[in-house]
Amino acid sequence: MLAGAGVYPLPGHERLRSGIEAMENGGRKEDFYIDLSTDQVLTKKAGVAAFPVPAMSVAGSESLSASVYKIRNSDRDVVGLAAQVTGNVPDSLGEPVPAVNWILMVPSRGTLVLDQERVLPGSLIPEMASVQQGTVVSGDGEFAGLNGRYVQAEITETDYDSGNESRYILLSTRVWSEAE
Amino acid sequence: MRALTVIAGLLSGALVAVLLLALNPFAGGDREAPGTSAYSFVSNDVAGMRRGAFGVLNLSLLADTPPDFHEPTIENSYAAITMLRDAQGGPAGLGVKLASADSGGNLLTGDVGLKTYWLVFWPNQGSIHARGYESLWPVVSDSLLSAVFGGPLAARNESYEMSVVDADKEGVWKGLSGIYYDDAGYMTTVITGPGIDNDIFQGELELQPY
Repeated sequence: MLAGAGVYPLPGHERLRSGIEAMENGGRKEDFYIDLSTDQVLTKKAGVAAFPVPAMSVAGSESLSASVYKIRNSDRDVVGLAAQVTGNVPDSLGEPVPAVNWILMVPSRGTLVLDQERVLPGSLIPEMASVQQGTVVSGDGEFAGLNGRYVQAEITETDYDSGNESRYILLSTRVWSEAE
Repeated sequence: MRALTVIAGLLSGALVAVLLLALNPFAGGDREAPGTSAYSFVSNDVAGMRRGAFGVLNLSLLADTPPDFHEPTIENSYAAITMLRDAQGGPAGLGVKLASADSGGNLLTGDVGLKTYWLVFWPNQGSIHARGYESLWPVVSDSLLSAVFGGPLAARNESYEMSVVDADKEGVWKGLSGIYYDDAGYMTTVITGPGIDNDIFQGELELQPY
């Protein structure tokens, strides 16, 4: 039985096809989707008490929030989980500015850490509403040693058969090796 | 009578084998707790795989409650959101944890655990991300011992320090924004009550700068 323990089937993770596109600079583009009607797993909001010093309060205004979503590949199949935290942080002058951080975890492949930029430049994709962008800070597993950029946008898709509309958060990543 | 003797022999052998596995001399790992900033947390905002022996030994189908995630890509993963409290018990920050079973482990060597990822946000201060590895071997061996002696397949102790900080499975954090931008350090976690109540996520998170 001890020998059998060596080949005991510990839990694994099914891997699905990845919709990766090669880019001209040697990097790769990959899109992840969150179905806003079905994919939120957990969410929590908290406030900030301003007196005597800025500190958290369990109740209060919703100035800090965290959510967990399922994430989907380009075929809209669930491939992992995403965590998002949003709140205010001080800039270099001490003024509060919004910050948004993501972790995308695809258990069969690895994780990516995303950091939205504090100053939002113009949209890369003009036809999409509420576009944000930021940096791919780090990764592990298959994503180890990669960094790059990402674009976040809310999109609507219509099913041609049923006519039903689905709203998604699109997280479009473009990553390349740190050495390039 | 002969058949009964054979069955009794087989059962005794299996019990001894489980006992040997639970007390496996090959299992173990380097563990240290370097934390200086400790935050406690208790949350029922948790979803996903069973975090005790049933989940780690791939026996979730035998558990009394079905798994939260039915997709085979994430069924062995879990997520939790929790308020982090400082030493005085006051709310200090908000933490989100994602974890997935480490599919590269080996039960014989006690190498069973979870890959873990955290986002922690302190309001008006900054945020960090952390990654680590939680060895669930203490939980598994204790659960096996419990089962050998006629109890449930569940951990009996109230808490287990599960973080592993070593060269291969480092527990590290790195600053993302605000005053923590570009800071970095070590992370350890103590999880309280794994396998006792799967709906409660409870323990301590310790962060120390390099």
